[in-house]
Amino acid sequence: MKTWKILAGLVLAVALVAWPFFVENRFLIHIATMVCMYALLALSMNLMLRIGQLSLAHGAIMGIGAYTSALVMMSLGFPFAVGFLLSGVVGGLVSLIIGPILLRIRGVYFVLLTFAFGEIVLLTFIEWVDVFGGVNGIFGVPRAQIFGFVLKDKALSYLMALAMAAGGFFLLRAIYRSEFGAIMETLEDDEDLARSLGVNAMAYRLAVFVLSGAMAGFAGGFYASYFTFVSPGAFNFWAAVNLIVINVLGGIASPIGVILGAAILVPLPELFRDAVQYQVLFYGLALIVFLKFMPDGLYGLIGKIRGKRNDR
Amino acid sequence: MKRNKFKRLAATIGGAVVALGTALSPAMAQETLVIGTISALNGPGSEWGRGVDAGTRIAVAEINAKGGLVVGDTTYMIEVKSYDDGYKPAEGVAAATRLIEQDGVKFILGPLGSASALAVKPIFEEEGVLALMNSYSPKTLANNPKYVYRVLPTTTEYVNQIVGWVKENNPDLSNVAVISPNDQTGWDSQKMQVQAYGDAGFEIVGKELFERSSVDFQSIITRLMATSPDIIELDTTPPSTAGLIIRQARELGFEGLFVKIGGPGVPAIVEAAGKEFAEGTIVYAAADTSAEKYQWMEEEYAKIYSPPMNAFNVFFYDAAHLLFASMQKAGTVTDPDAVRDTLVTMTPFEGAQGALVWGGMENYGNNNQLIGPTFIGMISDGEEKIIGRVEAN
Amino acid sequence: MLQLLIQILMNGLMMGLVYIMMALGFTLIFGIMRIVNFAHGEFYMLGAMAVMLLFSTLGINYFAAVLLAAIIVAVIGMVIERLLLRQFVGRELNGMIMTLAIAITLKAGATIIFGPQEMSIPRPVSGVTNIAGILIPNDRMLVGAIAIAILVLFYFFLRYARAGLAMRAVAQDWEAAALQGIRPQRIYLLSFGIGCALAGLAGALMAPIYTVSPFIGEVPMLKAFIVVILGGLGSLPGAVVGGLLLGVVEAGVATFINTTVATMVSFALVVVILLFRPAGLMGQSR
Repeated sequence: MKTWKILAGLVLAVALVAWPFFVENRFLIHIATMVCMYALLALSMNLMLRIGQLSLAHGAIMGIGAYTSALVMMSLGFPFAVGFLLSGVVGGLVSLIIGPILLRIRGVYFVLLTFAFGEIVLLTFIEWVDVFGGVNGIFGVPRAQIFGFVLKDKALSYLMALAMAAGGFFLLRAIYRSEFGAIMETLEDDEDLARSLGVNAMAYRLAVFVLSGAMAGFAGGFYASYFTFVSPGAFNFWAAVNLIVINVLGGIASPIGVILGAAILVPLPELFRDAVQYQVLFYGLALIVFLKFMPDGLYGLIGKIRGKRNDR
Repeated sequence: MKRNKFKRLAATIGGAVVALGTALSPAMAQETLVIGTISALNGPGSEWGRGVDAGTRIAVAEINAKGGLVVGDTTYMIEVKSYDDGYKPAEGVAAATRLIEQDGVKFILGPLGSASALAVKPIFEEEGVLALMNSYSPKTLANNPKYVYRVLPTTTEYVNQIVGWVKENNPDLSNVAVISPNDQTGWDSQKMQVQAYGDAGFEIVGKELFERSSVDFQSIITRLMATSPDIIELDTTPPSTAGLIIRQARELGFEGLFVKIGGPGVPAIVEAAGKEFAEGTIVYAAADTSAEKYQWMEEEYAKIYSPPMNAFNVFFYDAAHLLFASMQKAGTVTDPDAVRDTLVTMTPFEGAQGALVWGGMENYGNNNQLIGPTFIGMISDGEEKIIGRVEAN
Repeated sequence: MLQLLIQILMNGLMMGLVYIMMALGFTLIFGIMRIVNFAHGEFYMLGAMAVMLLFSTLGINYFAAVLLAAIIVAVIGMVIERLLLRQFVGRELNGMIMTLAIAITLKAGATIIFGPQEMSIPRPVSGVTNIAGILIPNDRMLVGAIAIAILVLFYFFLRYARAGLAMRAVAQDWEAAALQGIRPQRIYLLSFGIGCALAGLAGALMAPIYTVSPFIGEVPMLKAFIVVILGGLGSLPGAVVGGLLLGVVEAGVATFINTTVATMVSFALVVVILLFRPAGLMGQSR
């Protein structure tokens, strides 16, 4: 059983890496790249959901990463590697600075607080024209470059996104299986219990927030160089909401659920693109149907089916 | 593997829809030429976006009705793939990539709107796909693009002529306040307005920006009134919003002249402002809406989308015809370079409302800007009356 | 200068009344169902669309049209509550996303039916009243008067009507209310209906003053969001205070600086209040 699983994992990994070299259709590669980028973002949101603190600021943090990378490359003239690295570092740093203030607040109030914070960040991008280019945003961001290789080729961009998503996935899985993960669970359910065990709850929460912010920042850095264009509109609270939707649809309980959610939700509008006028309507209806009939997400549904089978 | 499966599923379903569409269209022995449109078809701003799509489709329907597009020895029935970008850059990139990769399209009309246009420009340039688009940003034509052409005039193309007309006919007015939407379009056009009014000897007493989603302007107007403007220039403010500003300003006691140099839409202005408040407003008129051809186009538009039609429709109708004519002359529908090389030599081209020429050298450093006749209109008894016409040269 | 200040105050109070109507419904729904209603703006839009059809197209008397619009929106809201939302009562996360999906669907549906363009409705009254140099457009004055009347009615309903008392009881303590023989299911239906009706009323009243399109709901929803945070989630008096506060602050900053800064200030206000008084200005802390 165990070897079978490892083998299947290997095959899957090889397939995920190799398919773009056999399938010539770069549109599919583009969508797959988006799936990976959103998977990383949704994983970063998953961290927050795990400690019961839903953040609507993640779109803004991603934006901070994107602008950081773009400005570091364009205004300061650093290469992509530095810009990209800093996108994550600054994402984490901003979280480290605002975390101690925001994380004091729990529940719905945290949601609203992060919403307001995100809007302030966006309005800063808009109002501070000299630096951020205002509503125009920044045009002509250099493409990703690795070992002197310009990632003009969509397949290479996809591999980079895949690596990021896979990194996030394994990181989260490792965390959730570790002692740290166990403490995280108590943070959501019963903070008093955590305290009585001598855990500095705030420090743990902050650590999670910083990691989550760094992941969102990296995704932003990737976004900037992939689209070569950043504008504030892409980082509003709807961006964070989309991540929550991915989590809920896929299933919050497991990183696999999150990946599933991204793999379904990101291509979903494409399925309906031919419907033109009806595209958005179909998308909305599909969401309603998913939520109505799969309240625990896809992963929960799979779990339920498995559970039933085991019962018999 | 799951991820791939979904991709394949998407591809299969997409393919099936295309196949179905092809099967349903009248079977003829000709070949099919697929072109694409990208614009906002749902959501805010789609009243303009739909003009990109409908304008193209009306031109295509005309050609198909005549038996198709004859290029060399082959006759092509033209098919239009329309994708919605919702004015969003990421969606624009998805739509463009899909058109180019999935649908094998080499000629695209759109996108409309700066964010989407600037995000897809590098793709068109890298892939060598010819795009006839519109965006108010001067960056659209920056760095001498080889495949990107702009088919709608922007404020630069007509502001001086209209401001000159205003000065000549209202010599005693001096203070001007400009109100523009707070985005790429508004900023760029506001700069040009301020420049043009300044050059013509007006004094700029106020420059205001508002969020596009705003509907309440009492605060802005209250502040503006303190600077006692003679003229309020509404710039690229969307027409309904312009109507709201006119009404709210009149209600707060503004008695001066309204001018709107940028973006068409007199019926929406009148509807939102009310007849008596809109009276006397000077507007840039993208088209002579009383022209027979325009009214015919409105009827055709109603067959595709629910009316009212926006004048943007006309520009993309012309652009599509210009593109097809270039294909015929170049003798190819597969080589964007050859079509482009012919395209730039096709003007003056007789458009729906007058001669179109390529220009823009003095502003952009290249001639990738299509320029047509400019109309000056005045709102009189709730209707747009054309009071001046300036030919492109 | 004094005149300018009074003018700003009047502009702000008028806006504040509309914000209150939006925020009351929003906060009522949250207080009772623990659902953050992201579709609240769409009910505002539906109210505007309904009044457009009834008043502008069918020519029904304006006041009757507004009343009918509110009823129509309430019914739509109740159907949605019954079919889609009830299972999410108390499940904040999923409930929030469901309302989001509903918002997307309603907006897209309205776009298909009415088209994306902005439309205008003839005004039931026009003209301006000049009180000592302070200009108030008559149509706004009418809206203000109706809004105040509705708020007073709503207050008496909550204070004295049986159903109103039951709603407050459920909002305060769900289990205790159930023990008293109140059936929460009914209260959910009722409060969602009333919340939607208030949003629909706001939309119906503002429709002739502004323009109507499928997308007009987003801004009022955001404003409701802010007002509700200022006043305290679930607090009805808070919604009133928050609404007036936001209206006046916005009008002031927008007049003296600009509208972007006004929005920024309102969000900064939200952050400060959440940090130092998380339950809002009027909310009781938990």
